[in-house]
Amino acid sequence: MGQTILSTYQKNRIGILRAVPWSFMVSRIMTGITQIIFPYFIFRYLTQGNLNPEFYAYAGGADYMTYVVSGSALNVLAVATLMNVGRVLITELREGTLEPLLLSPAPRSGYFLGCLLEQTARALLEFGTVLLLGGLLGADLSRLFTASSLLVILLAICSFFCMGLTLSSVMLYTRNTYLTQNTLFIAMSLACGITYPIQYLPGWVQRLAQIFPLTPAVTLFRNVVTGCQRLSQNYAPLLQVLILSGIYLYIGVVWYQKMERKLMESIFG
Amino acid sequence: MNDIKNFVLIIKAEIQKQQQYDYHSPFVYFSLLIWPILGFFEVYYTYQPFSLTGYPGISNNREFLAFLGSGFMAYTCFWSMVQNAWSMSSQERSGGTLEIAYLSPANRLALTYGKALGALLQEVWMFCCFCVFLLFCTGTLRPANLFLMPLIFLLLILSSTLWGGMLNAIFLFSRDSSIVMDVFDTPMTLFSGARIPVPCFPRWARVLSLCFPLTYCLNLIRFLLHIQESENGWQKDLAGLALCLGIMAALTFIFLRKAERRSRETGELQFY
Repeated sequence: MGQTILSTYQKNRIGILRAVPWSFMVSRIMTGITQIIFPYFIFRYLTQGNLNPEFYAYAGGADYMTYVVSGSALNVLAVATLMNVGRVLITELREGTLEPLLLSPAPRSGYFLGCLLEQTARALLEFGTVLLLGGLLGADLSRLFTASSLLVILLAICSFFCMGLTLSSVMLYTRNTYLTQNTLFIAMSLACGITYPIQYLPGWVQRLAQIFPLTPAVTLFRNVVTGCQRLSQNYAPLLQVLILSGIYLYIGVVWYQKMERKLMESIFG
Repeated sequence: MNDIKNFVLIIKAEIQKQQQYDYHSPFVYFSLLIWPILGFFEVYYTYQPFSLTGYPGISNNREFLAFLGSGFMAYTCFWSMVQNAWSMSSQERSGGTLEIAYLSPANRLALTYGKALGALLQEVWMFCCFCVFLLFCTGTLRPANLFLMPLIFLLLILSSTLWGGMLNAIFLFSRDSSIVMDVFDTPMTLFSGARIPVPCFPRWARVLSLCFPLTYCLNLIRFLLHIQESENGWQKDLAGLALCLGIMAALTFIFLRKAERRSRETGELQFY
C-alpha cells in the first residue's frame, strides 16, 4: 500500500513536471483572484463599504473581506482537489495507461491516495496564493494558523477527495471532462456561499447546495477563522461534512469497482 | 472584385466548418446558455449584500438588472472570442487541420476572421436572447427603441470579431497559450465595466479600462439604451473604439505574418 502511494506520487509528479500543467494552476488561481477582486471593487469603490444589515446577520458579524477571502480560498482548494483527483482515471484512459493500471495488482486505494498526496501540495499552493492576496486586500486571517483551522482544512481536503472519487467515475463513465467539471464548478460557486451568504438564494437552491461538501466545509472554515469558534461548537456542519464524505466515498468506491469489471471485459474481452 | 469574393467565400467556409464541428450533441447548450446564465446569477447575488441605493443608474433592482444584462451581453461576445481562439488553437492543432489550412493559398486574414465570426454567431445567440429578454423585462428595451437592436448587434459583432481575430493570431504562436486566456479574462471583466460601473473606479483603474475595446463598446451600447450614460459623451467612445479596432486589425496582420514565418523556419509548417 505504502509503496503504491509512493510510486503513484512519483509517477504523477514526474508527468506533471515534464508536461508542466501551469495552465490549470494559473487558471484556478486566476478564478480565485477574480472571485476576490470583483467583490473587493464593489465593496471598496462602488459602495464604500455600504453593506446591508442582512449581511451582518447572515454572516455572524464577520468582516466582508475576510468572509469573501475565506470562502473563495476554500473554493479554490475544492476545485483543485476535485479536478486533480476527478480527472486521473480519464487522463489515464486518454494517455493509454489505463490498461496497465487495471492489470496491475496494486491496491486501487493506494493509487488514489497517491494521486491525492501528489496534488495536495499544488492545491495548497493555489489556496495559499489566494489567501495571501486576500490578506493584502485587507482580510483578517490571523486565526488561520490555529489547530482547529488546520484541522478543518484537512477535513475539507478529505471530503473533496471523497467527492473527487465519485467524480472520477462520472467522468470515466461519460467519457467527458469539459462539461462535467465546468457545470459542477459553476454550480458550486453559485450555490455554496462562496462570496455571499447562501441565505440570499432561493430556498430550493439552498437545499440543493447541501449536497456539496463545500457548503458545510465553508461554514465550518468561516466559523473557525472569522467567528473565533472552536470545533466543538460546530457539531452540525462537522457532522454534515463527515456524512457527505461517507456517502461520496461509498458511491465512488462501489461505482468504480463495477466499472472496473466492465472495463476489463470491454478492453480485454 | 474577385479578391473580395474569395475573402467572403473563405469566411463562409470557416463558419460552416465550425458549425458542423460543434453542433453534435445537445450538451453544447450547456456552454451556450446554462453556464452564462449561472454566471450571471452568481454576479447578481454577489451584489446582494450591498445596499445600492443612491448610486445613479443602478439604484433600484430594475436598473441594476438592465445594467448587468447589457454588460453580460457584450462581455459574453468578447469572452466567447477568447475561449474560442483557445479551443480552436488546440482542436485544429491536434486535428491537423490548422496545418492544412496554412498550406492552402487561402487568405490568412479571411481564415482568422472567419474562425472568429463563426464562433461568435453560434456561441452567443442563445445567451444574447436571454439578455435581450432581460432588457425587455426591465423596460430598457421598448417597442419604441427596438430599431436600435440591429445597430447594437452590428457594433458588437464587428468589434468582437476584430478582437477575436487578434486573439486567434496570438494563439498561433504557441501550443500552450491558454495562459493568455486567463490573463485577459480577469482584467477584462473588472475594468471594462461589464459588472461594475467604470466611473466609480480610482484613476489608475479608469486609465486601464481604456485599453479594452469592450469598454468603449459597452459605453456606446449603454448610451444607446440610456443605462448609466458615460460622462465623456458618445463621440469620444466612438473614436476610442475606432482607434482600438484599427490597432487590433493591424496587430492581427503583423502577428499572422510573424507566426507563419516563424513556423516555416522552425518546423515544416507543422503547427502541432
